Amino acid sequence: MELNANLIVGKRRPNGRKGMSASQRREAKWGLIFISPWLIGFFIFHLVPMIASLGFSMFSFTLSAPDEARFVGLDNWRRMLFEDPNTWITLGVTFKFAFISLPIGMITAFMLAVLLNSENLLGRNLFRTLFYAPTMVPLIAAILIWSQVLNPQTGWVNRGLDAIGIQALGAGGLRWLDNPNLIYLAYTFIGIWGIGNAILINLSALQGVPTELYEASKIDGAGWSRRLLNITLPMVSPVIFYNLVLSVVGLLQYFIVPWVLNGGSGYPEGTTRFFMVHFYKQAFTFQNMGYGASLAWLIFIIGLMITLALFISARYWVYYAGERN
Amino acid sequence: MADATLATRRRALPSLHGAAAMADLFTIVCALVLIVTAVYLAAIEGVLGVNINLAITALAGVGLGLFGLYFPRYSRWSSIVAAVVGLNAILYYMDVYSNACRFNLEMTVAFWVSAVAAGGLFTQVFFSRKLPTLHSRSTSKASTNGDAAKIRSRVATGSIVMYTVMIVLSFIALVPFFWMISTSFMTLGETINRIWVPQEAQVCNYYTAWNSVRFNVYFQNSVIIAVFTITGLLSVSVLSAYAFAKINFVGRNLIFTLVLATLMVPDIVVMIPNYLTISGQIFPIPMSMTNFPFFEIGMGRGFSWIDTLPALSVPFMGHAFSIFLLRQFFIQIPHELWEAARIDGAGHFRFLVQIVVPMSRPAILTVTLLAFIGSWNALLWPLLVTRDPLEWRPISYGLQAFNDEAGTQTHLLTAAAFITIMPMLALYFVTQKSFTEGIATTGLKG
Repeated sequence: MELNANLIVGKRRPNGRKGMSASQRREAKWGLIFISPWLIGFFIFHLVPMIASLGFSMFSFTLSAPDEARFVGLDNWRRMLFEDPNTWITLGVTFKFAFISLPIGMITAFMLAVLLNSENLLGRNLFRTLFYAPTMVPLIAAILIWSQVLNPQTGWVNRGLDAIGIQALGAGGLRWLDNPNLIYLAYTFIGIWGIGNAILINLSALQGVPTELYEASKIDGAGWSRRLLNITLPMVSPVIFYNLVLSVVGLLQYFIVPWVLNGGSGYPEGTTRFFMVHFYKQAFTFQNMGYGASLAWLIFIIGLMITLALFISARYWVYYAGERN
Repeated sequence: MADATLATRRRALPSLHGAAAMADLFTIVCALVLIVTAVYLAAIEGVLGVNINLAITALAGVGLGLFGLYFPRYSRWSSIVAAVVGLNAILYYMDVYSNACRFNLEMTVAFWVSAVAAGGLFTQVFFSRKLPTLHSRSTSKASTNGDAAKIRSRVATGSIVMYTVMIVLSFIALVPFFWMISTSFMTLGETINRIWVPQEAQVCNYYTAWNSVRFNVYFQNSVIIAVFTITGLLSVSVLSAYAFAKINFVGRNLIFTLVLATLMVPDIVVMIPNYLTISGQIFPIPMSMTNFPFFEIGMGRGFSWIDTLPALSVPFMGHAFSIFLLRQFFIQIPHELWEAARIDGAGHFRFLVQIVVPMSRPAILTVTLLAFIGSWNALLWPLLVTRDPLEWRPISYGLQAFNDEAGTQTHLLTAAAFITIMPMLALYFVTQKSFTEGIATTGLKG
């Protein structure tokens, strides 16, 4: 967060004196007026709920009988951490999927952005439009489309593979959504299809890299791969970092795809029992709001720890062109 | 040489003005037609109490049309929105008054229609002039060379490998679309028999799908939710982005860091309390249905926002990414403009409305489109805060319900999916130039 505050906000208010002049007070007034709609929303829908959520996690409280809510202290937390095996199983599933999906997604987005940014490519606009178009498809529609395209018997993916000569149809074929070994790959495909935003953000960063750097390195005799590694990657590392943090936060709450495809049953063989599915069932299907709140806080803490770790590691691999002086 | 170009430019100018005038005339005519239609619809259906959603749609049409008339500068945008609203009303009528569908298309005709559409799209995207933007780094760089020479050298140096890769990849990206469109025109038998393209385009699949699960209701709901959310989101984020970019006040950095921090808080943490707030379990919220007439659309359920429009739109109005994007754009607007405006006696609000907002059209358009995507895609939260399946549930829910009901009938399912996607794709292809520019030039670095 420091990175954003310092880099984005720019120079601070040059304010040597303690008291404010009339014009400064007027500025402050307008600033607060302009910001107040967001601030009110922030308090009602973010800050207070977060604290309230922590409070709820100390109560045993079902929605059907809100009057019978009673304080149970850390019971929910104890149950979640030590007694309910689902917590750790679903966390494991979530992380396993994240480890497969995150690198594939980020590398695809970055490489596509590099290709789209290439000077030699005629019709960049057209390709940009085409690659972004799937992002416009509502997730639920994308899931339904892909579940049919990946259909083992009639899906176009398997039929295409079969046409090339890979045995994909039939009994020994690729059953994308039924095979526990292929399921994460199939889900990753569905996710990658809507990767347009990450591509665009990478692209905007790539366009910000000064061309002088490339020209200088060409004179020095650096090849394509060397320029990619030593110039492009460091220069766009802030944006890669941004994408990484948001992807992690998003993947921790991976929910809609398994929920639509199998209703949260975990099919096949429990490989799709994601943490968020567990949470949703506890909080809204069984209406254990107190227990659900503690699950929510657990994922918040885990996300916070990962984010903090990423911010600490960012010092070593994220390069800010403006800061080195 | 220079004189000649000047002369042509002078000759070109009046015709350009003529085109602009034609466009304005066109939007004004559109607006008038919409107003008349809307009033008519409102009079017949809505006000008489037959269909209140339709009344709202009609009123929105009136409002948008009037807006377009009074502010010709924005009339194009209001007419796009009004067109969506009007389309919605037309679809409703189609749904109610048309007879059973008997219309199918010869495949050759279908092929030529789609070929012409694809060609038009290609031309529009490929040969489109770049929009002038505030921060046109890439365009100015490109225009220094001679255009023809540049293209020739590009072709000369462009490697075949790269084109192959790009074409293969974009083909992969588009395969699901091809499959969806192809399948949506098949018969049920054809979907099972591993056929690539149907023999005869079954246009009626769309009619059948549309009528199966009250898509008209979900479509209306989604449009209204999107309009409300986008209006609120734009007001909130333009105001706060302006404050972060152009107003100096104590705590600005801290609050901006808070904005960015909300990006990193998983929604799941606030889901339960927000649900309880919305359902009125924590405190009686204002504007709940019983005490605020406009939202009294559902049945009164006491002090709660369950099954109301605000429950589906208000929580999404403080969108951190939009604020961030707009702020990045606003901050590039030179400070001298503000000084000049202040000397002319303008306050922050006037400066924002009359100068900053018109200058930031690409960024605002980008935010609008992103908000539209978000609102159109929403599924989880609408499911939580609505109980009546027909009251306020959005089109995503309609698609899911249709999947549960007719999941094996792939041809109808794909038609329904395409209906869901179509408004998004249309909006995207209309705005895509400004949109991709909007993100690409805002400089998201950092």
